[in-house]
Amino acid sequence: MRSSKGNIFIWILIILAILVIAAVLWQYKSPSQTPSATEPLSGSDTTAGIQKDISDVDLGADLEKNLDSELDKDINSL
Amino acid sequence: MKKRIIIPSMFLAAALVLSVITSSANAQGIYDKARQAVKSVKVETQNAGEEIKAKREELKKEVEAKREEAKKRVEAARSEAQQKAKNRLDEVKAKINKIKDDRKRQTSERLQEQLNRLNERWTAHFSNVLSQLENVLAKIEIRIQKAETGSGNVSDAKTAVEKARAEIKAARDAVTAQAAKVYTVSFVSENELKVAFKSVKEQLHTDLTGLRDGAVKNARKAVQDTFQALRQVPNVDVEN
Repeated sequence: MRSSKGNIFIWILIILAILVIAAVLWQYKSPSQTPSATEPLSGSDTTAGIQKDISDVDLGADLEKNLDSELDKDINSL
Repeated sequence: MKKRIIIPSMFLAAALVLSVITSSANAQGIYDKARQAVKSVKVETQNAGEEIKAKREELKKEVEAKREEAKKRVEAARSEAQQKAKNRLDEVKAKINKIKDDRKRQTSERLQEQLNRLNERWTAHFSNVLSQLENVLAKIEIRIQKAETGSGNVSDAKTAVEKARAEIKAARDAVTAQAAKVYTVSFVSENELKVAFKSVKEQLHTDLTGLRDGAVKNARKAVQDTFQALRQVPNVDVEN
């Protein structure tokens, strides 16, 4: 009788652990997924949601910095 | 005496029974009409909901198709340009191979490849930005349809959507044109390498910033303007 209760307890612990791991993985995965890179029309279509989507669009603010860092060192060494 | 009381009482009772029957029939009629009205409103709401759902699916497919199409177009333009510029690229590689200084030769080889890799990376980024804008525009269209179901005036927002579509298309064409560019260094002697690569880098910089601050920015502004037009619609966030 005791061992059967113990088994149930272990199974509950395993299920809880799986749920916690799944939640942690989902949490870490979701911020990197931009709407355009994954599912189209994901997220809210309220004005607040749309406003957020527009704010999230990065035209390429670090373009100049990126070109300099990728090329300048080599060019200057010539 | 009894007759005098009984006969009017019978008439009165009959009238009473008749009025009860009539009023209950009327009440039934009113109840039926109300039920019918509620039912038709429910059906209308359900139909509107289904229309919005269908529109959402349609837009989702459209955004996905546009994204794939744009990706293929950019890849095709790039590969075609590389084929066309093959001779020029081979000549430059051969010239770089002749550089006597090992370090300078290796650096030049790396830079020549890096210039085109950066163009590829940034045109892919701009293409991605345009996909994001198309996604936002699709959401705006869904919100417009919802507002329209709620009898809001959405004509300005609809006009703005068309303008934004045109701006995104123009930006897509500009990105494809940029992706088709092949950057090659031009030099006569080893001493010119630094100046020559600086000049190509400047050209790449001018082209990419021009694209970002021109066509791509215009597309984003057009989407922002559409969003502003949408916000003018009263009760735009109310779900029907």
